[in-house]
Order: sequence, then structure tokens, then C-alpha cells
Amino acid sequence: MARLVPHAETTAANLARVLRLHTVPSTEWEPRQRAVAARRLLEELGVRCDESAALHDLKGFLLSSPRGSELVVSRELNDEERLEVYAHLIAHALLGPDGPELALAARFEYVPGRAPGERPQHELREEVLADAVARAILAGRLEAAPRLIYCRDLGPGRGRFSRAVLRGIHLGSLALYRRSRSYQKLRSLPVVTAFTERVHSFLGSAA
Amino acid sequence: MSDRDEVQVARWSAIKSRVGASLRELRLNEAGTNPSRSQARLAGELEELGYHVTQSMVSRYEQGLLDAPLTLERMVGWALCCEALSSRAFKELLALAGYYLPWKTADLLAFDDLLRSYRQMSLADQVVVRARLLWHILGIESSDSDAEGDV
Repeated sequence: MARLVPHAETTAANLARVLRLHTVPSTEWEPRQRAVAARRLLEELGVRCDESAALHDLKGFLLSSPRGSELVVSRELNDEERLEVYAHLIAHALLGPDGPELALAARFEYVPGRAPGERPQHELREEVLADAVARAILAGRLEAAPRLIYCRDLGPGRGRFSRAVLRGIHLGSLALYRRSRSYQKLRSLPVVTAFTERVHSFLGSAA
Repeated sequence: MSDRDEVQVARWSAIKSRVGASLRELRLNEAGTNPSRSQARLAGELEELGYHVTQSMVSRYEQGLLDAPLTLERMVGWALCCEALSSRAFKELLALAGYYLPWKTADLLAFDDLLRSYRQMSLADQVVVRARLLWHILGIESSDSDAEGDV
């Protein structure tokens, strides 16, 4: 059985780290370097990447089965757009279902304005959330998203009470993040990220 | 003719009418809202997947008249080209041909979701996705190890 991407949490964290390391503002080769680094990393982590597909309404898609995970991207995209598709699809992999792993799973990225009109609500909700998580990955700051998105295991905690409080806070943050774009912006501010990291460290570290 | 070939031919003879009828049903999509695919278009789409199946072969396979066994690869490719394909129909078709699709309810639902998204795409996108899907689906294992690759 397969998940959308093997070890999605590690993949997303490493992708964000690589993008942070390859950020060289105001250089014309930066997008190319970031796109190449992202592709290399994904392939090293077991995700096949094909950037040569002749797609029309799709920017790219992710298919996963016991045969592996593959990311297919339109050949029409420039480096920056390709990178966005990678980040978006990895965000979908992070947000994928918690339930049983599927024999065949897919996510599709549409060219703006060309997505089908009738999409199920759960798909649209995941899309909004994936937008926010992809922004965090592209900024090289995965921690700008709620921790439960990229790390399901919250650690041992100082005790049962602090663990329960910590879990409650993270669940609340995740619920707000799903519903509110304002909270998504607030949560991505460095000062808020630093504060939540401190709270997590305080409550989450073992006694 | 080798023993293996004889078994293969005998097996195909036993199922070819039912497989043909099932594939025809998938292509015609009588109950669906989308138009059915013509035999010519299906042949063209199979060609795009890399399988040489002419319109005449499509017709004769559907009528159960062709003695050459339809390979698993072509059968899956054929099914993926059809508007009426559903996870249930797919599982039944493969079971008919002796292949067990080890999909649970969640897998079947996810595949139906995937097919719904796939049918809403442009033809160009469908062609790319279909080729990839074929590769992933063909990882299924035969329910009869002796018959692997026979049908």
C-alpha cells in the first residue's frame, strides 16, 4: 500500500530546508537553482519527477501506488511555476488522509481558471489549506504552518496534563488554520512562529 | 503448440465472450451521461497508449470472435479509455480475466474519485494521466501465479 509520498513529513521538511538554503534574493538564476535542488531532493527521497509532460488544463499531478510515487509536471512551466507545483503537491501529501493507505492515490494541480467547476467540498477545503502550506514550504519555513500538519507526533510532554494542553492548543491552531485565511497570515509571521515554538518547547519537552 | 499455449488458448476461449461483452458495455456507457466512445476512437486511444488494436479488432474482441488472447495490459488500457468505467466494473472485469484486484472499500472509493476527476479533464490531460495510471495499476498481481501474463 502507498501514501501519496513516502515519508511525507520528512520530505516536506527537507524540501523547505533546501529551498531556504537556496534562497539567494535578486539573482536571476535563483529560481532555476531552487527548482533543480527541489527536483533532486524529491528524487533522492523516492519521488520520481517528470517535467516533460504535455499537459493542457493541468500544471501537474501526483500519483502514488505500491509501485511508487511520481510527480508529473507540465513542460510549459517555468522554474518558479514548477517549484510551486512541487511545493503544492508535497503540501497535499502532508494533508493526505490519516486513514488507511490507499492502493492508488492522486492529486491534481490545475492551471488557474481551468479546474473543473464541480469539485467536492473536501477537495476544495484541502486545496485552500494546501495553498497555505505550500507558501510555508516555498518560504523555507514549514514551521509557519501548524505543527500537526507536518509532525503528527507531538512528543512525550512534561506529563499527562501538559500533553493534553499541548494537543488541545495544536488542534485548535489547526482548526483555525483550516478555516481562516487571516489566521494563516498571522500564523506565518516570524514572531508568532517563534512564540508557538517556545510554547511547544515548554509544554512538549519531557520532564 | 506448447502445453502452456494450449492452456492459454483454452482459457481465453472460455472467457472471451464474457470479456468482450463486458468491454463493450464499458465503451457504450448506456446508463451514463457522457457520450459513448466509438470503436474508432477507442482504437486510436489504445494506439496512443502504445497498443496496436485496430477498429476491426475492437469490434471482433467485443463480439468474442478473436482467438488471440487480449493481454492484461490491453484490457486495463481499454477499460481506462471507457467512460463507464467504475471501480466495481474494473474489479469485475479483472476477476473475469483471472486477476484479483486487492482493493478494499476505501481503495474503490478513491479510484472512483480519481476517475471522476480524470473524466473532467481535457483529452490531452487524460492521455497523459491514463498512461501513468496504466503503469501504476499494472502492478496488480495475478490471482493464479501460473497464469501470470497469460490473458
